[in-house]
Amino acid sequence: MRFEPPNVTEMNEWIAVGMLAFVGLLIPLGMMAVSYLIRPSVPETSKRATYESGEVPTGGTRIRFNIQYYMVALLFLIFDIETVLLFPWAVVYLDAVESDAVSLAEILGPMLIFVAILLVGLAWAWRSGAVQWARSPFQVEAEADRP
Amino acid sequence: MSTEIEPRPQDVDVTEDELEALIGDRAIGRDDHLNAPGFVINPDDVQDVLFDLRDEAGFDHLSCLTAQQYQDRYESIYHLKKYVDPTQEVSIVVPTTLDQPVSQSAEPVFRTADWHEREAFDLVGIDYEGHPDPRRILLPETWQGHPLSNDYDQTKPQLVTLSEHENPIQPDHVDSESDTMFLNVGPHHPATHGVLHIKAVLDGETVLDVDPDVGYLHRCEEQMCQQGTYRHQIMPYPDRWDYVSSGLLNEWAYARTAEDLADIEVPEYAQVIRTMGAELCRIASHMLALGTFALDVYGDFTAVFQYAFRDREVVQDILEDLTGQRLMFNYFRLGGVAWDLPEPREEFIAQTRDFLDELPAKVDEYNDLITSNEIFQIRCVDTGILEPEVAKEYGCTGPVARGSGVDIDLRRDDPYGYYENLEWDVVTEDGCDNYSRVLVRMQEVEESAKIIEQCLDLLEEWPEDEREVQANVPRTLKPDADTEVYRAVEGAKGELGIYIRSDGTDKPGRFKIRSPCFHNLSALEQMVQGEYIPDLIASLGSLDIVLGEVDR
Amino acid sequence: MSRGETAESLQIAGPLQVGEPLLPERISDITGLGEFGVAGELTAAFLAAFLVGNLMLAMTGVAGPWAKRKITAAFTDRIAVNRAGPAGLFIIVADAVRLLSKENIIPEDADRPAYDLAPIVVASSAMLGFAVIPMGSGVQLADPEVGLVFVFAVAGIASLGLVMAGYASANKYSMLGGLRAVAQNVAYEIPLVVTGMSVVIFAGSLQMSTIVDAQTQTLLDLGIVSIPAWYALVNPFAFVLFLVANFAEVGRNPFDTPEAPTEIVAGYQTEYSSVYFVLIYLGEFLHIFLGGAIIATIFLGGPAGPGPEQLGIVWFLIKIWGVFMLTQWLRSAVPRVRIDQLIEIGWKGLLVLSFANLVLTAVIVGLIA
Repeated sequence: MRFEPPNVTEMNEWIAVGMLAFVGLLIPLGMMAVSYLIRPSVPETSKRATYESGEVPTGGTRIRFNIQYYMVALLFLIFDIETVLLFPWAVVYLDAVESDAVSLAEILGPMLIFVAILLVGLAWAWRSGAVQWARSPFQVEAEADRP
Repeated sequence: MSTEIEPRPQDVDVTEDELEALIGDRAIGRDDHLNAPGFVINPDDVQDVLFDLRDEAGFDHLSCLTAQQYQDRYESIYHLKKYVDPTQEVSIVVPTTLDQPVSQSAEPVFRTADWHEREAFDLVGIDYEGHPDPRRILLPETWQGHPLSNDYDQTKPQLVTLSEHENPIQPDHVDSESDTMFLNVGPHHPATHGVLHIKAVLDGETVLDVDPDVGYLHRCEEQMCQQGTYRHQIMPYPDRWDYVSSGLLNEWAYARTAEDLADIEVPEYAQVIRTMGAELCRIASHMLALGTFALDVYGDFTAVFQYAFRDREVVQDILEDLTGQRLMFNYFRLGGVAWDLPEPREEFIAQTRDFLDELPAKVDEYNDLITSNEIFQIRCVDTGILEPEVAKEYGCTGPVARGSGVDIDLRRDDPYGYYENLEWDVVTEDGCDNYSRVLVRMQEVEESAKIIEQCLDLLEEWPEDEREVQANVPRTLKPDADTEVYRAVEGAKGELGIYIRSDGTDKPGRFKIRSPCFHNLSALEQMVQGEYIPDLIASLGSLDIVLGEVDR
Repeated sequence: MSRGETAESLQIAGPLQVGEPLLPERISDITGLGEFGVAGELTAAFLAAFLVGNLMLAMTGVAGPWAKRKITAAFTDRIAVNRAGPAGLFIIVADAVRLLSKENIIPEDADRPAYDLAPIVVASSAMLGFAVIPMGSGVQLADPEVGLVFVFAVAGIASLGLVMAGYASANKYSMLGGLRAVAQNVAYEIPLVVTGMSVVIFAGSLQMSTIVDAQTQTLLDLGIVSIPAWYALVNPFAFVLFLVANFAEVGRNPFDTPEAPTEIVAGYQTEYSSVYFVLIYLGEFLHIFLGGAIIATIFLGGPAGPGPEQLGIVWFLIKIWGVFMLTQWLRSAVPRVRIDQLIEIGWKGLLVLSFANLVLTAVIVGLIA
């Protein structure tokens, strides 16, 4: 028997996706179960020590850490959202161009302006040095000292 | 400026009289060595005299610092040289009393004295006043006593528990308000080329400071050599310093020093074989350096690494045919080499020639694969900068110095063996970066090939009845008591020097090794400050250290 | 984007159901499960998912590591595994048993739930991506209208897993690796998606099957051979951009900075052992293959190839393995870029190029049409 498109199929699709998610969990969990059954357990505190090249770990990881791509990550958020805005346009573009209802300028223009604004933003961020791995204050200092 | 017209002090040859005049009455005596005039000075005058020697007479290279204990005194010997002409040497002898072994530090004059003096303190027990960082260097912080001092009790147990060995820097860096992260790189790390421990302070991915912690592979090589007889028992040890196929180069350091000490003339034929063997070792060693450097930059055991090993394997086969060994050659003897080329001679020579013939194509392959790769270039060019002046301050030698444009090569500047009769060039690059050091090594491979080629020509045509492989050396060597000599050769990594003081027996009274890796490594902190972690690893790789030689 | 928009646009695009029935439907057809209503539907879907999941597992977890060894060995003049079984194939079994039977050592400072969840997140997210990939021969689990966006979204989840792994391990190398994984994602996600968008302009749909169908047209007829309109051939520039961004996305050479064995030991997976390590490793392989599957689908015509249509899955697998092969080639031949260089290449190079590609594609398509 065949499913009737579109409603049943559409629903069926997401069931299948959900089932793959389920299988995707099942397989790792199954492996973990198998491993749990066959692996040995020899508890000993020293081997549970955090690895730091064989030395006694000094200081932890829960520290204030200089994330040098912080600005880039912020930019990423903006660009990511704007990219999502472009998707519907990209989908309808070909049909819109082929249908004679709208002119090419009408369908292409807004997007060009949108991308242009994006790129101007990028250019500005680029110029102000946000689109790169931030140098640590130490490096900036060292560079200033250099003749 | 007028100073530019005057010749630099290091370009002017200094005679012994001039030195005497320069040091003046600060010299409280003379203690000449076989290789150099020696002046005895007071422990308070060290900086004063060394400053004068460096600035007035141009001795800009503190090649080695030997510390030793006599029955009645401690002695620190500063072996000074010039980078432009290493044959100009002077020794500054600083005696200190047994009950108060305190001497002025030379660190303000020569940055490289830092590690020299830490080692002297560690092993012999002389305190250097004004030293910026008077810690042990080779032995653990918790070690009791100084092993090369006369009153050291060898039976005393030296249990060092892990908790005692906890990082002394710890208190400074557990601060949760700190913006920096303390990271141990090594000893158990994929990129430290052995058991090196680097204490790094990071700000994000940026390296603020590094402190190499060496000594994990310390095997008392100096002491072992002091317990062996000159004639045969010491020669095996040099193979174990820089153990990655630089064996013959290391052996030559001992051979040269001991031959000078005992006044042994080496037959020319043996010198040619030595030269050829040593250059084969250099090729093998540089191939390994190239492969492991690629490993550090590429990040995996990639094709480059395997290719380098494949080609090194050919050299190893040749060396095996020549010496009977692949790793610990033990091929040199005082006064020559152990034996002649293997029979059938023609086959050996043909095999070696085959290798040399194939080499250019292989070098091209490396250039295609590595040096002309754009990603490799953005990774290596302008990273790990070592300015020539800094390189000299830190006593860097060998390919590391030559990659910084310091034109020094003991094979040419302080000739030994058969080098001066052969046609070859010293390779230098002015980039001062990781890339230059790779280029230098790759070109040195080609230069070594040239030398080997010429040696083969000579060996092939050498008249059969003049093939003397060893001079007539007495079974037991007993150089006169208190003869002192410091001699260096151009090892694969740089100036490998040995100081020997004889005490009238058939064993050295003091045997001191000047390891090039040790001092090249000390420059790491200058190279990586402000660089990123990947460049720390690449810079370390470009120094091409072998921990066996660093720690000895 | 909202579902509504897509559905609307797709109505313009054409028929919803393109081509053959999906795998769950087939299964319910063959087994008659469809007659049991929702329960039968669920069972059929589960069976199909199980089939696809295990196919991917077999490819990535089993054949992948073995192939990686063999390929790397070929590049480095070695032989690699050759003792256990023909061409060393049985080493796979030995490896599986060895890895699963190792003690699971959990560092004392680890953040437990996160530490345990991270491997699952990494492995599952990659597997989920295969749900919408048309593999040919009727093997496609689902074909939603938002297929392409879905697959990008799902592939992006892995970064979350990597950060979880990196942070929860309480290990400095892991933390550096986890942070690098984010930096990498931040640098390459947008070029990847924007380049993918230029394909959508051609196909006019986000549905995977539509994209594949659109590529079956003939680009150039040379008499005996006709060259299909694979988007890799239609727009090679986008193809190259996408390839590069994809290597960064899956964290392979020259962009394997989050792992960077010689620098930060093993990055985010430093503290993982036993089955957790296997899962992360598996997840990475799945990601390489998922990247290959996306490339094959939107640029290489999916399951298209000479011969009868039943051979579709063979062609599809060949294409995926081709991409895998390329990653291994790069691994053997190209150095790793530094993390700061990676950000710059991503933002100053690929991002600008990908927007240029998008605009140019739009303009050219507009002018031709």
